Amino acid sequence: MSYLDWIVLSLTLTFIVAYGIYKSRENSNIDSYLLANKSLPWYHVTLSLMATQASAITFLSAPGQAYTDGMRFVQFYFGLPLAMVILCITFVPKFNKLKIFTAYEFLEGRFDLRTRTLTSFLFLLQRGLSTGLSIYAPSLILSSILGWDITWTNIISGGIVMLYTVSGGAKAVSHTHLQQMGIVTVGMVIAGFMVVKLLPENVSFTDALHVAGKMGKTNLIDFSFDLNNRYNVWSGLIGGFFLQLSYFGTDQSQVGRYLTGSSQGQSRLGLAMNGLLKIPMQFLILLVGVLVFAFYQFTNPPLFFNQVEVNKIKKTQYASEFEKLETEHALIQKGKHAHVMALTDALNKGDESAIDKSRIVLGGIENDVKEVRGKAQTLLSKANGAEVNDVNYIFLRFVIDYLPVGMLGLLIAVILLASMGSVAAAYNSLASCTVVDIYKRMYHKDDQDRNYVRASRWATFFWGIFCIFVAQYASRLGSMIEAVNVLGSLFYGVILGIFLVAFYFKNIGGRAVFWAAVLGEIFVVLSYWKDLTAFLWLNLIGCVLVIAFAWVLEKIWPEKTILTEELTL
Amino acid sequence: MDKKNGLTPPEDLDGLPPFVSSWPQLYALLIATLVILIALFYLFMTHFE
Repeated sequence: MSYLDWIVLSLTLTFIVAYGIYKSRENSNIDSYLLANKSLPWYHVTLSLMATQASAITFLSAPGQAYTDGMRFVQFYFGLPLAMVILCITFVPKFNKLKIFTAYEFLEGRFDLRTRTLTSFLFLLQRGLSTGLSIYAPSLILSSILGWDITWTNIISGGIVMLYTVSGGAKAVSHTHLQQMGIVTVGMVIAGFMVVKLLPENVSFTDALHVAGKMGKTNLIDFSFDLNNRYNVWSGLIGGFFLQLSYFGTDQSQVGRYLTGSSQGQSRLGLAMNGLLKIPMQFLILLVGVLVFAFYQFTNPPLFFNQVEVNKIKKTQYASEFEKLETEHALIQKGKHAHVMALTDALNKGDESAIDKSRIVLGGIENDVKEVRGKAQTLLSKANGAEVNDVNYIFLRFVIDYLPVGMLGLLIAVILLASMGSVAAAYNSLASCTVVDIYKRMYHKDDQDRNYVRASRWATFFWGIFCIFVAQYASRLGSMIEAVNVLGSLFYGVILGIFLVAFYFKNIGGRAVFWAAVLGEIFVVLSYWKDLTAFLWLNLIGCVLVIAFAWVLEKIWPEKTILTEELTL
Repeated sequence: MDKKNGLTPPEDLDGLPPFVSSWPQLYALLIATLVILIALFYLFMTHFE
């Protein structure tokens, strides 16, 4: 990195930390520390929800995914607006009426203390571990591409967040989210403009989209119903709906964001706007990836974008085999350029038959590229002893190789800020649950407010250290994205099941739902351990099992008195 | 809705953007936007493919 890149990166990070500390100087009570005094307007809520959901991987992986797989990933978010509507109608009024700090407090009023404690414990376990992975994932990519030490990258990226979350709590989290989303958006828009600027002179923005489109990269919509196809309209609307409902409705890192709204209306509008903006935002990130793909149709791309893995294989017995693949790939790319130029000419002239001809030829060439890249990936996995994939490296490699000095610093700041946004919300939510659901509820029920604030600060500090510690050991878990999704799938389904019983099955009591959750969680863990099903199905299985077990248990072992949702604290 | 006079209580209006008069209208708008986005994405795809 150049001096200018370092200056841009340092100034951006320093500004965010200083701003977070400045905006949250006064935190005299627990309402202020954990809920920002419930004083924030809807746009704070919206941007905070978006910053919490968008991790560093969103900005690294999504453009790479568009490059390799097209834009079809956008369909994954189609269930989100529907989930926001259900949250506004059901969850927000209930949480608001009870004036709760954590989503799990509601469960004590509706069921009993042990159900609340169990759910809170499941959340702490899942979120604590997955936040460690959220710190590790961008650290791994940045350290391998830029040669930074992974241990220090973990400590610095996780530690910077601790600086303002320990002192500032929810206020600092929300105020920094606002700035982070601003910088992230500016960074991505500039990156998009730069890609278009780097295209050959006679190739316009729409020409680039036509080229990418003719090669199958603008595949935004797939109406076919196919259970084996991960991304289509139906899996997005149905599967995405349940996933987003459980994430935004039962994960304290998100619930804590809309509980900071100054009123029920502001929280609702914040959620609704999140439903409105998330899909276009994801579309634009994927569009940047498609433009990078179009750029590489006029310039030779590397065979494999993770240079660290390429350097490794070149020191092994597989070096000559890999070099052969590199030569083959370069020849295919060289042969492709003439056809791509012919296509852009045909597009400018509106010559439909020439366009069709080029499309067929380029489609065939693209399949050849995929085949060679597949062979290279298999060879790299064989030689370097681990499954390798370069999707997360495509965008960063492009930034390093082609964007001007200063832009690399800005884009690394964007990646770190995105990571900090989700990690900050996680620290705050972990501290909320530790203090409100355990410390305050079980050990210090009527303590002074300043003691709760002090306990919250220590809890934030503890979870920060814990997550950095997990990040140091995360390399043993294999694929990061999969590890995060597996962790979520192990717990989300059961937690969602408990909340759905609470909202929609008024005749089921605490005893039945508690044991149903215990049985459901055991079954989910066993299913994963014995490899009975693909892990994504564990969400649905966990949720359905809790509802079914609770219903059966209530029938055979009915409870005399079933509580309403009024809290009895 | 207020059962007596058919008006929305003032506390329910808090947060409502000026272009809608009730929360159900906002939810309908959200779903309509989703449908429009899917349609626009479909047009975008077919245009560039």
